Amino acid sequence: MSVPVLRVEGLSVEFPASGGRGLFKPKTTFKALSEISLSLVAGEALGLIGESGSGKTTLGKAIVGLVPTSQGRIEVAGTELDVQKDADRSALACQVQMVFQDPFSSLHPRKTVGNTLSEPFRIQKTVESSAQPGKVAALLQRVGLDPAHAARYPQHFSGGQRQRIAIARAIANQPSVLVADEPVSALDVSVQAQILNLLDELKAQENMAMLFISHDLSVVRHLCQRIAVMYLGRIVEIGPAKAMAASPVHPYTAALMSAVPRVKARNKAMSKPIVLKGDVPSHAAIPSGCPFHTRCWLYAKKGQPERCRSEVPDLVGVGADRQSACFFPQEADPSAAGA
Amino acid sequence: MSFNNGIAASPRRQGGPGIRQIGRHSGMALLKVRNLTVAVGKRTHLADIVDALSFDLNRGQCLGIVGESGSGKSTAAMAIMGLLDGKSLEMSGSVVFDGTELTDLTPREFRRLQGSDIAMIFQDPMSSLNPVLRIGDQITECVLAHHRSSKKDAWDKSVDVLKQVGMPDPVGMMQRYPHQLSGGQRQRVMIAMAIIFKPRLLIADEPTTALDLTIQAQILELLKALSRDLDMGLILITHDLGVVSQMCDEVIVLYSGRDVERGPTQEVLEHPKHPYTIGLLGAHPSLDAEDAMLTPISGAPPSIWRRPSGCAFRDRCPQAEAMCADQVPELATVGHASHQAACLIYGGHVSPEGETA
Repeated sequence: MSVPVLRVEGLSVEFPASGGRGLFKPKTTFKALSEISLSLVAGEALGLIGESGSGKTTLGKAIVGLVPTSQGRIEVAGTELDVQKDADRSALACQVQMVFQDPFSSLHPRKTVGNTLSEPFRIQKTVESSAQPGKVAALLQRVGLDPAHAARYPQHFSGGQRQRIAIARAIANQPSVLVADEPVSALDVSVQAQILNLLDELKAQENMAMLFISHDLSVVRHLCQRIAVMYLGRIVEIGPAKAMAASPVHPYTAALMSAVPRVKARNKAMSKPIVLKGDVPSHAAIPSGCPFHTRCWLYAKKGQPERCRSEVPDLVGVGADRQSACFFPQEADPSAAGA
Repeated sequence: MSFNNGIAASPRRQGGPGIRQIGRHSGMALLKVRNLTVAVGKRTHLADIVDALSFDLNRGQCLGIVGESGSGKSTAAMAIMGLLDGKSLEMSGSVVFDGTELTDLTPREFRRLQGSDIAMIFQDPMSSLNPVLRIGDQITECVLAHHRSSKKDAWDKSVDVLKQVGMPDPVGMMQRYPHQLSGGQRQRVMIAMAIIFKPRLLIADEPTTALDLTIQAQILELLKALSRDLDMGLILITHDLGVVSQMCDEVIVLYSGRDVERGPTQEVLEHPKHPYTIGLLGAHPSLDAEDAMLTPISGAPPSIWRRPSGCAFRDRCPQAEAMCADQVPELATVGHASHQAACLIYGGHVSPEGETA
């Protein structure tokens, strides 16, 4: 295996909790991310899935340095970078770039597209100012837009075109890691495929590593080689995309996979969606033991074992390149268990 | 709502009321929509948001209306509900609900039906609830608006209906404010308010789009159970073909305000005939299928002001020919009896497999 271009180890993020009653009560914090570890090699796409509040966006932001971390380290191409230091912050911006969800708010409305796209060159001083227009034209062409449109403003473009511009901005300085946070969820289905294909192409051509954050399992399964499933700030399962879609090892993954409304008649085992009870608990009151046990169908099926309530399961290896944080890793696959 | 029958007829409407039956026992249809058209603009320059939509819906049946943003799916629903402003929009066509022509009703008569016999659930449960009123007050307000009853009875009825939609701790929930509820709980409150008078018709406009996957599964299950128990007709508006496949008996695919394909859900999704439907199905990856390059539909949906002549989809259609620019395609039967597509190339002429239909 090659050297990872991005390595995250034991990363935690804490936010101050609101609602501390009384002026003199101690300030409390809640953990948005608890000890996340993952790595990405060049040319690989890792899909990050989970429900809202699972911490997937926070993880993406922490990696690009938009959220201060409280613990853990981030290594890019073997060097540890501390986003609190200006020099490291700049190096990180060169190596790791982000594409945001909403292309309507992520582009400056009063800057021309050309101006927006040449900004990375100006800031990082990677391209002489005389050469910038040519580079911008090349960038626009790369993402499938007309180079002549550099003089236009974002308002002149459709959602799909704007997302192309945002992608062009992110890849301007040839980063080694691209963090894409729900890049297609604001777009119409017929336009989504265009952007997904573009990302896939760019990743292959540039040999970029991509962290693809999405709530759409089918999209992640299509685009990514590996998937990490998050629940309440933890990774509960990580492994190869195909294997995870076919036979999930964590009961939460199994529930997610079965809840995807499918167009075509599905296989027998998946025919009945596992409907989880209740909502995702709040971060302020994360359940003891396994954070998922309050909604877990396997916990109920196994007669509510004490262990799930008292002990936090670690991510442990189950089979080739797969890890799961469940005490009963072999029983979560509904197709195998005959549920 | 003022319906104007004298507006400039679009080419599709000139052939008279082409009744396209959808639904099995069409004699007893709960809802009959004929040539429903909603247009925006000045008299001389009109653009159709919804162009001559017709369908039937029976009790206990679920109809899916699928389309992208701007396809007119929500506008069609609002027109049926009588929620559109007749002053700025031109409307024509007929909507018959259980034998009553809704377009002839006075606003006062219409309001009596809205919320009791015909109910609607909106996409965003946060903006549909009043943030400064308790849940209990909002539901009882809904009860008291339609029924003369004591506050106590209305309150009890509200608790019952919250129980019916599977709300945990219904009594405690009555005292809470919308911001204290999760997205799924808010949507349950919206559904509770919609079904409190056991409506015969429920229109759900993207009811799960704002919700997480596991919560979506809960809400869809609930809607399915309710429509079965209350024998409601359900119109489900969505952009997700997977949701349609799971929930609906029949489906209508809208593109730029026009229905381009319709029929029994499984038939349409397994043997799509219109290039747009085929494109939609090919553009979204499947969770179970093997990796293949996605085949996107090129371009973006047209604005209703700049809709191409003839077939609205021809600019983006891989199969378009010269004749597609001249003629607006009519719905025609393809293959299965109630499966129809509006395409000059595939609709009723030659199917993609090459067999004549």
